Amino acid sequence: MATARVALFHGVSTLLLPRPAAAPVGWWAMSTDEGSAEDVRESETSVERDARFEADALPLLDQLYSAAMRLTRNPADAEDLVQEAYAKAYAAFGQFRPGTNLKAWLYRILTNTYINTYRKKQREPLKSDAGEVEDWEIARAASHTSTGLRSAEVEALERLGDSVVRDAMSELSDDFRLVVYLADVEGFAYKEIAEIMGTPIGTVMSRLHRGRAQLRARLADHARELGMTVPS
Amino acid sequence: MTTPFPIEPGQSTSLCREVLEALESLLDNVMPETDADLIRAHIETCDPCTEAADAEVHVRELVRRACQEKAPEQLRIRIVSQVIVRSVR
Repeated sequence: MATARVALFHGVSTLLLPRPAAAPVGWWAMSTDEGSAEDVRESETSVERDARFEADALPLLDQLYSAAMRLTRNPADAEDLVQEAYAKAYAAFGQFRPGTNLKAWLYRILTNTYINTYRKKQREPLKSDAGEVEDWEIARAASHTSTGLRSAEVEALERLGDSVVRDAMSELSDDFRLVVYLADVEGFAYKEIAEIMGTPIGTVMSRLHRGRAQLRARLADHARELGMTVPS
Repeated sequence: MTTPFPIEPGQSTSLCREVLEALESLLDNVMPETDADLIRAHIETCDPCTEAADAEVHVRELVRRACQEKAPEQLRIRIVSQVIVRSVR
């Protein structure tokens, strides 16, 4: 058994090579004069630009919808949010510098649209007492390790399916849920997340650490509630 | 209450604790390579730390997979038609 476990981590650790530096987000790149490559915006027709939008931005629909589902926590609002984000992105597409980080640019639009439009009029009630709960959860989750989940619990969660994880995610506060989504589902680097959320990197790191701890505490609760207890 | 990962008799608990606290940075690819090598070297020779590292890798993978959804076809159609309508000038 130990050999198999070592092999798993070994296999993953060889994948943990240094990442290439992230390309700058669209509107950050706007202000830098890179000069060298010809900007296709200067020569394309509006029909060509529309085709470029469809070819480059549309493929990200599933990912943006998934993010919107985590943000709004209901399908009707998620669809509205994504549609509005795409409308804004389409209207602003001329401002996006080709070759820079389109995914992060779209996520920034989605996040801002969510904050400005949906956060205020949520159909689902806001998570209450987030502050009170999180300290207790963090104390517990962090009491011995930074993660708090044992392999038996993780194996139990694997068998319980996606809805358990989604439920646990929905129990986090907005900020924690979003930062965990951006890091662990989309794989954005801290710097990209900071640009998407419009917060300093330090805030991202702090929210990520606390959000992950809270999520793991919730997952352990769900695993326990559903009868897959690990003797403590 | 969730118990800690088991520490074997004779194992360096403070080292394991440090290593596990560094796990997040390691897996986020923000650790300098020399430090990362040391952390990985310990993990690979320490069964409880291997188990903890595997569990964390596994949880992240679980979360990633569980949160991937497919957009409804009608939404896709509505968004595409937004673009098409505007290109007819």
